[in-house]
Amino acid sequence: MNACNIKKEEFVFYCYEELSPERREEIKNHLVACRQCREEVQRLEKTILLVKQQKLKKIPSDILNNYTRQIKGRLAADEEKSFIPALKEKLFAWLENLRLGFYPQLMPAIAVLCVVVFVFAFMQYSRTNNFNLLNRELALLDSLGEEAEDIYSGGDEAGLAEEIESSDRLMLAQLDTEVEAEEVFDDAYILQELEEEDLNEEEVSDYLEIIDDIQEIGSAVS
Amino acid sequence: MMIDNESEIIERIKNGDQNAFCELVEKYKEKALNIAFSFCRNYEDAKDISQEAFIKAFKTIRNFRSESRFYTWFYRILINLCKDYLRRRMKNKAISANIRINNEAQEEESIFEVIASGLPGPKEQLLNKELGEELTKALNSLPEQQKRVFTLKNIHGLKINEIAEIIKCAEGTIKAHLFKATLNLQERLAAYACQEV
Ligand SMILES: [Zn+2]
Repeated sequence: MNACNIKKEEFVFYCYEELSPERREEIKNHLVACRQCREEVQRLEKTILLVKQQKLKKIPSDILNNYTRQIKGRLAADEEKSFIPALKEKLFAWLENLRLGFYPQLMPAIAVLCVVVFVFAFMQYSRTNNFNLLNRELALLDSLGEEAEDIYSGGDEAGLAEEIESSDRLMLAQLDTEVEAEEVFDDAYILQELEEEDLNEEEVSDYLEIIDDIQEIGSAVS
Repeated sequence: MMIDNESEIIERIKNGDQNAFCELVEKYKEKALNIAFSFCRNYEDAKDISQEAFIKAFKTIRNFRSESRFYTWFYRILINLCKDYLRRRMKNKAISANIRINNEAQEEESIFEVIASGLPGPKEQLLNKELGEELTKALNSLPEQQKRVFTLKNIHGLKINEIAEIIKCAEGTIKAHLFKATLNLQERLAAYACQEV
């Protein structure tokens, strides 16, 4: 600010013709009367003129001449690119995203899924197997009961001999089931059985529930 | 008349008329190239960036509202692309810090014609050459925003409110930058301002 109470900013914007018309008039009138301010404005104007007088570099003619035609070419190339390749690009981008999204984030979920599927399959096995064993034992008990009944009702030696024989059979049968039980723990056997197995509705819904659980675990992990 | 003619051209572009678009390119290509050149200091890149800006403008012309001038809207697209370009170049420069490609030299590259035509004697031409170099140095020494605003105002001839619209900044901020830059340059060019006839 000078003695005349005009800010230097105002002189700068006076030179740039960026003041309101009223303010511009006021300053213009002041400059006529005040030599000090007039000189200050002249210095500013000179600086600005020095800059404005500078000529910008000439744009090389080869760049200027082909300019618009090149843009047309780029536009045409863009349009050509925009349909099927764009779709392809999108698909690739999508797959890429999927891959990137899948691998690092879902890795723990996939691990959990594998464990759960294995445990479930194993449980399913022991269950069906136990069921088979139970059936067999019940059938054996049934036959044993019948034979015992025969023995007690008949009371003959032949019946007794048969009872001994049947208890041998029972032992043999139990041995059989023990062998089968061992087989149940054999992985190859498990897989084979799993393939042969038909699921009923209840089992299907069990599966679905477990898959839901897995998804929940997966989203919690990621 | 000019404005009416331009708004008619823009209507045609909005209807997908590529020839109308080419008319507009012809009209603004030199300005666009000069602005881009003042950012990147090499004509090949200036060409690429400004062409990209035109293409982007063509594709998004529906977003252009007629209440502002086409060039302010277009320069905004252009300058944003220039800034992206500079950012990319800075990154590359940071990566290859010890290789030092020509970037340094490029930044010192003047945007002005070394010897302005129309000046009489060799003495004046030499003075002008010196001035051009000094001015380039002075401009490059300014903070980025001051340099940008000062260049847009004095070299590309835009008004303060247009600059504010282009770089999405308050007019007061633009004025502050312009004021500081002008005083800075006045100081740097004082010797030349005295010598001037
Ligand atoms: Zn005064």
